[in-house]
Amino acid sequence: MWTITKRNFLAGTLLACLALPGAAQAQEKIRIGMTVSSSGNFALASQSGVRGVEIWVDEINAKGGLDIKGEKRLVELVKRDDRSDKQMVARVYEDLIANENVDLLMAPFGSTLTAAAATVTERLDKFLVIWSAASDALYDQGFKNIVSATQMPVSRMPSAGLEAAAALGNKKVAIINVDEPFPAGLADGAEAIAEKLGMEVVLKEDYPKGTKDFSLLLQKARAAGADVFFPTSYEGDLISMVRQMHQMNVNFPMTFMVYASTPQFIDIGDDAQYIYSHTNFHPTINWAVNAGLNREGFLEAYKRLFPNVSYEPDFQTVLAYGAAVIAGEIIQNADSLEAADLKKAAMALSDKLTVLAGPYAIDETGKQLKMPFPVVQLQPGKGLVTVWPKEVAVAEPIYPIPGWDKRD
Amino acid sequence: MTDEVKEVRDGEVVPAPASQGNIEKSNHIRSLIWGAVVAVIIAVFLPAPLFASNLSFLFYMMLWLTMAMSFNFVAGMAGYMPFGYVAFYGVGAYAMGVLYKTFGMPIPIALAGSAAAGILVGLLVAPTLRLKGVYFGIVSLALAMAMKLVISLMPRDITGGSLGLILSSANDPLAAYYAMFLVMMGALAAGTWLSMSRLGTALRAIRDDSEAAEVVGVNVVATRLKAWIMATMFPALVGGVEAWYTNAIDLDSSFNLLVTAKSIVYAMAGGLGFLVGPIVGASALYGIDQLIWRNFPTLNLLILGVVIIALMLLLPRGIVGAFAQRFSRFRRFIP
Repeated sequence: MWTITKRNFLAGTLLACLALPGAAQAQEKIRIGMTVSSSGNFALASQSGVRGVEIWVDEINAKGGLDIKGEKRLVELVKRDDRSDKQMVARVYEDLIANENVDLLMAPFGSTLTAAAATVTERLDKFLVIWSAASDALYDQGFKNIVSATQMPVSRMPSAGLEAAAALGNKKVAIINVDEPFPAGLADGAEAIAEKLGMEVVLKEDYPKGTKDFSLLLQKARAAGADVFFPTSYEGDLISMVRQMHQMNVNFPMTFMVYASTPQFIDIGDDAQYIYSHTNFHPTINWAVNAGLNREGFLEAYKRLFPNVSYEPDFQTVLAYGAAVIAGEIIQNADSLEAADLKKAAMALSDKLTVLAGPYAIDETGKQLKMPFPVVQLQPGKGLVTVWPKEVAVAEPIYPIPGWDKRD
Repeated sequence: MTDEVKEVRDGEVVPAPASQGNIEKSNHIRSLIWGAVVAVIIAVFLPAPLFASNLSFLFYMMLWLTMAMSFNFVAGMAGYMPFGYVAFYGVGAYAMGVLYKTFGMPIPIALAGSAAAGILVGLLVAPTLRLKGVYFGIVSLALAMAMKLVISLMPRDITGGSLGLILSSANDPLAAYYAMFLVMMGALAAGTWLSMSRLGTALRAIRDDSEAAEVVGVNVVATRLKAWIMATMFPALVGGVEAWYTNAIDLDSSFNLLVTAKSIVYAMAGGLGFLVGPIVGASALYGIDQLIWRNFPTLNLLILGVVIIALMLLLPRGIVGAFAQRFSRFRRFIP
């Protein structure tokens, strides 16, 4: 056994003294603070996200760190638990800044927690990189030092689908939604976007939760002469709608369903064919990435770093990873870790970066303007393929959708 | 205060002080101790934002002090266990959010609205004060769930639905901090009044034996109601101020049952029935919680749970309660 004798104590002290100047020369790490939810409602999504950030930290450190003022500095992620609790978020973000001396922060999961974190980072003048807060109101708050690097607000989520619809020459849109907040928010957004794109919204209706019979709504949409049928409800309702469209032989040149890209929807079989939907992480979505890893590199890193995690990377992982990559680019461009400099650099980089999650552009409130969810379509023989936007499309959209009575 | 002749606390008879002079003296000392406690609280929280950057730590400490104190009004002094205590907190938060965001009212008015909403809900369920013990607890738990459901069923334009409300351009953490300070001072004042006045004596009498209290002329219904209203107003105000501080309100965080659980644990850890009990309990556990999550990021909840269980097993009457039991001669000096 190794015991502390006078001699090796002295030797150790001497060694430590010799080592000290070397240690002082090594650059201080860039400390990035973030909370993870170990428990509560946001635990799964939050942990999915933090894995994305960890992939980025690993990638940057393998390259020797981030370049600031001509010096490479390694990155350290300081993680703390927020228990999915808004109160904890306010306390922990404060602690990260005041006691852990982090240089900048990644937001927690979701709009509520992010809003709580932003009040703290704003007060203590630190830069906050957001990857999952979709509430539009957050960006009306007047916060100066926030940037939604990868998450677009709810009001813009339906944009790619409707842009595809407009590009295909559609003129009339029917929007329906279940009377629940998120689908209703998407429907309101869809209405505004459709009108902006010059399309006429011929029907916009909500229906109560628990509705099983959509025949009346489908007939109304058909009678209104809609080219695009655009329901924003959850999978269960969408499956019933498609089945009833088939039974009643109701056809639209384009049917776009927000949740039609989920495995649950695709599992219903032939009725799911030709339906348009959107997603941000799929084997056929490959943006021309100019910062960070591409899809293959990302998947490889995920497998290498998290061999024991039973979850595959999901869109949260992709959003958080993309946000971290953008944060890194912002730091290198700012050549500083001051919040105001970082915000300036974030604005300067707007419209110049494309990461795994898509192209990045923000306005002065920090709201994300791009990062569209590409439009996918389930095509016979090909499966789910990306058809819009052009940069990532791998197949031509099948348009108009063949009528139910004209399919084999 | 000569009406305090004989006190039964936790089934134990406390000997009455021998003479009028002794009573006066112990009352005086008790008031001095309480005054010192309040002075320390003011000295810590009032100037803190000038020196410290850990505003959130102090803000939430005041929040829990207030929640535990007002929980004590109804649980410690009146003997009710409102398991649905979070209902008032949530209603207060939403009243603040809806009045400010949806109806565009200034923040002070929105906060007054929070208090009013809390009292209103308290009055609506006042008839359930007739229930005793666990029955009352269950009804109040149901109330919390019902309030959450009511708000979730309200139109999205008013309450913001599942995305909740984000209070645009309300961000002023320092003002919210001092608002919470005022609420806490209000709770301290209410606590002082409750325990030093005839009302407090009447409440304790009801808690120990409501029938006997009635026989000696205590208006049981009116007395309970007063304590109940105070116990509902403060959490509503706290919820409102907290919503202002974080600028974000949603159903899950506003009606999180942990808010009730923490109020109970903090108040009981200090000792129910004593004015200083919730203050000692909330400060101690809140401090321990801070130490734990800072030092054990992954195991923090587990360790906190173990600490709380140990505390309840070793000191079932709370820190102040255990002290009073061990040194019973000093009990009459404990506010």
